Amino acid sequence: MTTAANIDWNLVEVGQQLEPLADGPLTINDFVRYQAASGDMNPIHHDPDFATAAGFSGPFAVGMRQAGVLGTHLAETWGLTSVRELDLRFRNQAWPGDVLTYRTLVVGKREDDGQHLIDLELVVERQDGTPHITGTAVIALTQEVGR
Amino acid sequence: MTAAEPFAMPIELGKVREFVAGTLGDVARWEEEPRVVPPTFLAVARLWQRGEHRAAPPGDPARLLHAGQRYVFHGPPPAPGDELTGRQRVSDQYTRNGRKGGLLEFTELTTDFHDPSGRLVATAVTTTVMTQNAPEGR
Repeated sequence: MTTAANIDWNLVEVGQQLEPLADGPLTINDFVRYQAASGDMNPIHHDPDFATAAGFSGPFAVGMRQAGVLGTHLAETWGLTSVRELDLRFRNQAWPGDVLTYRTLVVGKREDDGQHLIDLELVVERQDGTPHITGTAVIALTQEVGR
Repeated sequence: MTAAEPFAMPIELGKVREFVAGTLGDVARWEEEPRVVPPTFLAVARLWQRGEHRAAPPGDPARLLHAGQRYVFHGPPPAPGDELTGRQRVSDQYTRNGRKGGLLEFTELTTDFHDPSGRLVATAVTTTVMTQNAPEGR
């Protein structure tokens, strides 16, 4: 994985793709661990009877877990304090057994009020290529980067 | 649209550790200075919100889906030990016709988090959708 120490403003290029992150195969245990941490205990993500009664084939992944994996990964990649904005859309559900790939593309590089800002395009894909999450982020490269 | 009552949200180190671990982070790294919270950590605000702190009643968990989530940090992210005050409001409501899901009712909830000096630290925008039918049954 790319570390913050590897990211130098001068070396960031528009069009650059970062090393993707792999996550999975997803388990219901992964969902419950996130649910307990976040306080969202909706049984549709872990109770097969509840999920099937609601019309689904079974429990499906908590979108906010994958949003969280993405956010935590971005912060660990660009600097823990660097994420200024994260804007995500949940597209297709993810399911137990899925293997997800988190992709980051640099789409902009700008300076604003003395800050070095980087615009990112994000996608979390299922193994068949369907998008689970799409979105954007704004990164402010701060002094901790490169320490 | 009217806002719910404000709520206190202390940022706790143990909750940050639990959240980092639950989002596949490297817990040891988040213990180093500067200690801050991960970008989606404010999702745990729900643990601090009682009924009067919610701008909309909780929907039927079998029909409520999360359509979108946005976080804006108006500076460095919050840190363990910070005492934030959150306030939630309904910022948009609209309906659309879905395909399998039938009528879709969207609600956008915006929560502003201020520090004790009154500085706006972060804004969270949650878009939920209430469906008539299970929309994506596999």
